[in-house]
Amino acid sequence: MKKETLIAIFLGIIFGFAFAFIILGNIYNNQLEEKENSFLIQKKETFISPVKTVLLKSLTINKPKDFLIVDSDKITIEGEVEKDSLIIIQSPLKDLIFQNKDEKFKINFPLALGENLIKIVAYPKNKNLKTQEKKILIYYLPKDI
Amino acid sequence: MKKKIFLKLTFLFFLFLIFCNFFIFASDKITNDPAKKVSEKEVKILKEKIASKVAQLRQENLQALSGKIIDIKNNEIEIKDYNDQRKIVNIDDLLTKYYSIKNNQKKEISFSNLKRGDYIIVSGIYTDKGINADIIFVDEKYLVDFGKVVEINKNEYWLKISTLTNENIYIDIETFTKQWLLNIKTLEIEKIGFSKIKEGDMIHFVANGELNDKNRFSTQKILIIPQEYFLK
Repeated sequence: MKKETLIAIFLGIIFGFAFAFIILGNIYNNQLEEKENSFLIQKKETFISPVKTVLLKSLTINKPKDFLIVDSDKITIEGEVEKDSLIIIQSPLKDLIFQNKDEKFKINFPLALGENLIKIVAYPKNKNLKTQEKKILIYYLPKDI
Repeated sequence: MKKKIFLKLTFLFFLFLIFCNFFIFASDKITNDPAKKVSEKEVKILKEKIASKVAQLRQENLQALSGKIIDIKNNEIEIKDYNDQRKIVNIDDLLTKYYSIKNNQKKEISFSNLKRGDYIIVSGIYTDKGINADIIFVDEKYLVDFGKVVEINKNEYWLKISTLTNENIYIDIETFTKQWLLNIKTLEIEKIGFSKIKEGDMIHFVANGELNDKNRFSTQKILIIPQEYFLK
């Protein structure tokens, strides 16, 4: 065999090995990524499950703000709480009792002249859950004084 | 001699009259000047605009504070607010107005009508130590709360209530107390008597903010949530 032929065979083998190494490396990396992903998914699942049990809608009053001064004899109370709770809104002027079909509720409430201390209590449908309460203070002070 | 003095005096008198006439003419010219009139009108409009802007800003920045009067001095009232913190209410002799609120009606009163122990609402602008009062309302203080009925006294018509924070409150059911019960099937409220209240029921109540002579709160109204509601 000629010298050139031997060099060509030698170079062919080296390039063949190099090509094989590149392909094998890629396959190995892909397998590693797949393993990591599956591990992450498992990790996520194990992380999510305890949160689900804590996801309880606590009573929040979005409107009105505490210590608000208004010029009208009524306000709209907007809030959120666990669905189907028994909600009691009480002030010296008025008592309102209702069950919320959705988490959000919105209701008109009358105000007395001067200070209005309003207590909002929610009894969740699930009786094992804790009763929640909020208190807001609204001042109805007409401008025309 | 006398004639000379007379002539001098007459001359001075005429000179005085000429000067007076000149001043009257000058002042008349100023007041009748149309440019001056226009500028006066502009100043008046500007003053009105500033006054309305000040009133608007004052309304926007208006804040309120309420509490029980613990001390009254000249141009200053000391109150204890909801958090039991002492606040100073600054009075302006000319600006501050006073009203009393009873049965949802207001009546104008004066500074001398205020006394220690009164519950007041003050509207005005906050300062570091309290508030500069625009208006002071003497109002009634109420207690709005709820809890579980843990004891019933059928002889003296009082209830012992345990609140969510495990605080015990004693309330009197008066002849004027409005008593309501939640119908657990319809969720409507019905009028009831004292005998319908049971230990273990939940009670929502509105009472006068001050303890009565029996060291209990006199209730204006109560709403009973029967314990059966929680057993459903």
